[in-house]
Amino acid sequence: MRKVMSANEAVANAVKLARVGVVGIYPITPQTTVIEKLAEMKAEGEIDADIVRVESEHAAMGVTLGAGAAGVRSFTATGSQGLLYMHEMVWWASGSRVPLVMMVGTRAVGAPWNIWNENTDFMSERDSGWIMAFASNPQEAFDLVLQGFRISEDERVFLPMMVGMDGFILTHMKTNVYLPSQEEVDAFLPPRRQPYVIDPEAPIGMGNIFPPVEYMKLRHSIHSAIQSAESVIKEIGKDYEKISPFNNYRTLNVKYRMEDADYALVLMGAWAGDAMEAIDELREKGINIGMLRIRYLRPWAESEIKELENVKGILVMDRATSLGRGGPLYLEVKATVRNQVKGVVTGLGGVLLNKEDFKRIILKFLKEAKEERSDGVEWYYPAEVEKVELRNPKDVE
Amino acid sequence: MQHEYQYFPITVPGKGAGGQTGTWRFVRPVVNLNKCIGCRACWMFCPEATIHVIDGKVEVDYDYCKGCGICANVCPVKAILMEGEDQ
Amino acid sequence: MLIEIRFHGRGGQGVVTAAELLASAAGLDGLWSSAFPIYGAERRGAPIEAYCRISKESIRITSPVENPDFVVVIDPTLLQIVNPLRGLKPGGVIVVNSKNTTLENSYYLDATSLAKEIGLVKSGWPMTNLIMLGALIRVMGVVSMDSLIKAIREEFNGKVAELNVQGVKLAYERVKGAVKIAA
Repeated sequence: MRKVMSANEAVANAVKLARVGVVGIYPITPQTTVIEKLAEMKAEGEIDADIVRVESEHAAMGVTLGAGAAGVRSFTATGSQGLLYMHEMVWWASGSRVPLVMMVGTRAVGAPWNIWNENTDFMSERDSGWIMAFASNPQEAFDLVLQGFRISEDERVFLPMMVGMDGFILTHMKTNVYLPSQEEVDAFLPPRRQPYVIDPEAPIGMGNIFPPVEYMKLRHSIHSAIQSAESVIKEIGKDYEKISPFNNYRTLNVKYRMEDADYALVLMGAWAGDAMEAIDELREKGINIGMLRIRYLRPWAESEIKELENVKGILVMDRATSLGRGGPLYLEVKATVRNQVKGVVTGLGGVLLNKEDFKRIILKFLKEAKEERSDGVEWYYPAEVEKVELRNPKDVE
Repeated sequence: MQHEYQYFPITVPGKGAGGQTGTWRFVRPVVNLNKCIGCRACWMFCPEATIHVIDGKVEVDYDYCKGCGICANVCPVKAILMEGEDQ
Repeated sequence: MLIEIRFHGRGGQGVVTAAELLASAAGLDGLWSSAFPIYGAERRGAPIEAYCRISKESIRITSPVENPDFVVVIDPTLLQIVNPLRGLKPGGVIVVNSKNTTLENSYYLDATSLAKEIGLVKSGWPMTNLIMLGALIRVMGVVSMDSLIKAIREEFNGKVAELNVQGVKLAYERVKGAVKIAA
């Protein structure tokens, strides 16, 4: 069935079709409509899940993790300040090795308050030991959340998985989404599996103190599980074709016009759509540029990224920053390939880019690449940002 | 587990996860069974669950008792005395 | 084919809902569509814009509509405050809620009076958002009335749904323009 819906509605539908048992959740813009949709489904009797309204995101993950540890398929969703407030429990979930899925509607982080899109919140969890995927359209948001349960519950992985999506731009954009039937999803998604289940009849200690040698071994185990997830994701992506018309999940990341590309643009998220429009127009002018869209930050598919070494120049665009350093995606790519890599940080705090901005960024990069000085990080300002005058306390007086 | 790298942060309750902690002891609780009234105060307060009450009388598991002395301290009739291991 | 539509109105007038229901109706007609607003300004009374794209192929672009094929002005008082016509494509069409208009290449419908006439009033505000969709789909000729009515009934229940259905049907008949409308 194909229906027009937002990414948040699509995520709620994935939760429904996955027959999730417990949702521990706290509202935050731009994720709130996920809860609203789930609550509506609950009120209409469409889902059996217990939706637990908690007092904070820290508790939201506590409930979701607890339910997961007790053997129930569980889900939560958050973003921005909420994700940061949850941060401690995010690590507790991966360290506990309990499979679960979390949706992250990305949003800038204060101070000052800003409700608009930026990916820094999502990127700041990259060391937490989760499987981390990032969607570029509402369809992919649905597909990744649904696949997420199977990836997370695979015995070669047994780690929680978060699926990021650009706040508002995806979470609130309504477009056509294909939903498989309940029977198809039941066939695709086996009953929940997990490494252990807490049970009062057979008590175990969970997360009790681990001495240094065992703790280090456990961290290495999570590292290995993330790396092993690469082949698991491909296998599940291929199997997904049985219930979906989309066949682009055989790789972790997605290439666009890379076959004969001399230059590559690397980015993740919704703006890939606008970038593809820009690439098509530049191609018509004889500029051989392609795109590699990062869909999985963890695992980091090193062999897929390494293919970039075949091009003459690489441009990485981040909608996030590691302040004082550069975009996190840029740093990851730079650590993977031997080529010169240029990083562009832009689109922060809801700043929007259009096709012309992409063309401007790409053309400047090509000029620098030809002069072999396409290295380092640049902050790109769309015209509206350029006009902003700086404020300092003297002006405020 | 089929996948050798997999390792999970769980512990299963059992005797002596920290080894035979009885070797940590340099004073041992000795119970005067003539004085013991079977009130279970020592059983309740022992932090290591090494005191067992069998047929109303107290028995100490010396393999795991660390000799902390809490039992002697809480005994209302002073039926438990701490004696040096070297005696 | 890519049709880009920009809606202008005020917070509380259902501007976002209008864009979304147009997208839903297009989806029901087997077309690809996408709809989204610029968020952050959704305060009652503040100027709002929302976007809808309709195509025969899947839509990749996610940025706001800057060069619309159609502009829908739900609240005509905005013509004096913001510039709803900015970036309109050459030959682009304006559909305005007004008793009449002198704008070039435009169509008009007195949606406010129509809303009052059928009793489609919420908290004292005549609800003209979906009524304007009735006018727009006539002018566009891409999205069917059946699908629009179905989309309305999926989103709303009871009296609100039926008043809006009545409203879009009347709007479809009453919309007038400088350019003759095909029957």
